Amino acid sequence: MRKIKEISMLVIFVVCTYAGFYWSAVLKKRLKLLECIEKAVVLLRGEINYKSLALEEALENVSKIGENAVCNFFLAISCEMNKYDGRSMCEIASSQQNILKKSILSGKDVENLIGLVGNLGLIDKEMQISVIDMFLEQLEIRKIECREEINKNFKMYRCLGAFVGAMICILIA
Amino acid sequence: MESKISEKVMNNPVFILPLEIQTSIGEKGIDIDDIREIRVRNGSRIAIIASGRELFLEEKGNVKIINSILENATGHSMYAYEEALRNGYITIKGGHRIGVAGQVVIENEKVKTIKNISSVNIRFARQVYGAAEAVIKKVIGRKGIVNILIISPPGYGKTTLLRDLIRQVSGREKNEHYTNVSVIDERGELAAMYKGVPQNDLGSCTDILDGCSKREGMMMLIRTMTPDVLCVDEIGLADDVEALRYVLNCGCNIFASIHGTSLEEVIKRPVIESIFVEKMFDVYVVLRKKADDAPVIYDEKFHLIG
Repeated sequence: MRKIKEISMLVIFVVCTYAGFYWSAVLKKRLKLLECIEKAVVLLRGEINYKSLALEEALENVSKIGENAVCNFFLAISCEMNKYDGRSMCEIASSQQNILKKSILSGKDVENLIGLVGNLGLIDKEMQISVIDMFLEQLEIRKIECREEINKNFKMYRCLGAFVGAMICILIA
Repeated sequence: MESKISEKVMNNPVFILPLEIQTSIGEKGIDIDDIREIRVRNGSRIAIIASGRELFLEEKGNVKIINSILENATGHSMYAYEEALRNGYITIKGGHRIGVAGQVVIENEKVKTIKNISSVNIRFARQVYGAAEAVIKKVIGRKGIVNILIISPPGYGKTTLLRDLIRQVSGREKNEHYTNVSVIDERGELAAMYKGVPQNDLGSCTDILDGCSKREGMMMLIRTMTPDVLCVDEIGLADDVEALRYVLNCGCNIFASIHGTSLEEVIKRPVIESIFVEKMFDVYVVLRKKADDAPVIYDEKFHLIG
């Protein structure tokens, strides 16, 4: 009985500590994914500005730069555009939002990315570049906020996990 | 599935129409493979030219239908077709041309774009193998590769003939040398390039410059691709004539086409009369209205051949 209790306490402590480490890692992963978004969108800007590629081809080319939620999202949109079913870019982007929602991006990140895609394709090239530049400015702000959150909470989440685990063990004991 | 849809559009642009219009065409009993042209005008019944006849659907064109056609045709990327739109047309996958009419926006005395588009004319491009058979037999077969000018009004098939001529001449062997052909495909109708791959068959020894102006394209290709034959569609400006002169002085043969109703009418045009005075071309091919009628072929002295 005592041994089962000790093993349980150990398991609880390890799980809580792991949870703390996991949530601290999520913060950094989100920042990394935001940086991937920035890279992908800058490339998209180049595809549109210099090559004047149509969106379907531009998104497909950009999707090849990596294996992450953003690249998969762009590839899915490119495939959906190929269906010629009369949907607008907004509708197509919204239909594929689950790919982003399954990732560690926040709701606001997802909303902004869908908004970007939904606003592309309208009017002339200058407008496309303006839309993309505006998105990149907003993205930079979110990256700064994410870094501040990491500085504030990274160590705290790790310690909190271990602390909660220890407290539960003490209570059980 | 996705690639099949794209292939369907390339083979037949009827798939860029809204679904209800496609259904209406089907209900009318029109074979989509026979369609040559579709005209959509704001407020007027949609016209279909197929099997040599003009038919009208019950549906009338409106802003929503026209915008939907353009959205589908450009893949939600009107910005990518800015340059083409200034010239009043868009060439889509498969080499099909969509002419547009509407309100022109002028900036610095030049056409900037067309807005409030009120009419679209979808012209179906089709590769016809053997379209240049008469020219091959009566000209290439007897004289070898010479400079050929194809003359015809719009819609008579000069691009189709030029395309087949290129295909048949490309890679043609003579004295262990395979004929290299270079093509300036300014409007993307000859080769219908898509992601760097020609969707039309232009032969095995053909180099294609897609979307380039004729004058610059000719200069570039002569310098970089050392062609035996250089092909260009729809010449007509003084710059084109100047570039042709340069190409011929480099010892390269030319296949070209020009708008015109007859040889006599084209000869009288001031801008291009030097083509005939300087005898830049050895053969003139004049197309007639019915596709079944063989083209009329003249030599450099304007005598009938064959």
